[in-house]
Amino acid sequence: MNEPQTDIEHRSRAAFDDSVTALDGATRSRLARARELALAEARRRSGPWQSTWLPVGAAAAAAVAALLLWRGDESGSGVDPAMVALEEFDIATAGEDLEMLDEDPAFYAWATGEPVDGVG
Amino acid sequence: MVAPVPVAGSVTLFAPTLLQHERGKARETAVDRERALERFLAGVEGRAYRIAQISLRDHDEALDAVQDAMIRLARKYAGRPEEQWRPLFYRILRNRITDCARRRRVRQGVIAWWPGAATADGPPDPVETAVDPAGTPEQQLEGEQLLGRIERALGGLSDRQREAFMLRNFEGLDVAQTAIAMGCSEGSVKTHYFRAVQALQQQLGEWQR
Repeated sequence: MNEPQTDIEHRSRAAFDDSVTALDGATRSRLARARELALAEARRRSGPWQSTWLPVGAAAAAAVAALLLWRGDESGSGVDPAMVALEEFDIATAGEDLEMLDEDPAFYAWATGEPVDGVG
Repeated sequence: MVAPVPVAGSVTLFAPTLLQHERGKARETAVDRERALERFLAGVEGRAYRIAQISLRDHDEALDAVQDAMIRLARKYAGRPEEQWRPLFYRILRNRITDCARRRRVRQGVIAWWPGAATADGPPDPVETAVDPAGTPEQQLEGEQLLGRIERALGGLSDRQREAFMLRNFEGLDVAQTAIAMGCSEGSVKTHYFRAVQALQQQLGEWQR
């Protein structure tokens, strides 16, 4: 969080905060309506994923777990089958938004801890 | 906990209970995330609106920009970790504000070109047409005057300096978050912010004590 240092920064922040507090009812109502629309959109987006892809992912993970456990019995390898199954489950159910890579390279770089290149 | 279900031979399979368990967990997570998203949007909407309003100097366009940013965040990035929402939201909002300002410039260009559309007074003064913050006039007068002067001073800054100042000072984003929101390096953010504060100090010098 950025803390104001100079008098200008302090007063600007305070005046801005006051103006937000003083927003009229009609504006607040419009903003609340916008929020509801956004939440409805989030619900709409998460619904199909839950109903379609999660069971598919879980079924795939169960199948992989069964296969690994069965083969594990045959080979006697030291790999923990439960851990492998969980890793496979993560991969199968990870809903990566690859569009993000095209749209926000700077954000992706930040998210992965890389330095962000760019010009101002 | 998932109950192991014995199947043929020596194989142990996490069968239908796994599906039920994971589905229930996902539903719970989705509800939690929706609540978190609602909290986030409710917390940010007023400030985002004021930032958009100062940038666009138009009440309805500012509301539209905030609504678009909210919906796009929910549509594309609601699944991202919560700490990423704020810089992402302001990145989207900034893009909306830029698009809106660009469309307006094109519109004004067309109107100015159209025969008979130009007025002797020229384009309206954006400061004159700015929407005043709401509230009881007597109680708000001093604050409005103060903020009005700040907004006029911000209008004299470059777009990047104004963005850096509003995101860092008004919204309280740190340098890294501001860099994400503005789509530039952290060094650029520091430079723009420093110059913005300097310019504001010059324009509003009487504040200095």
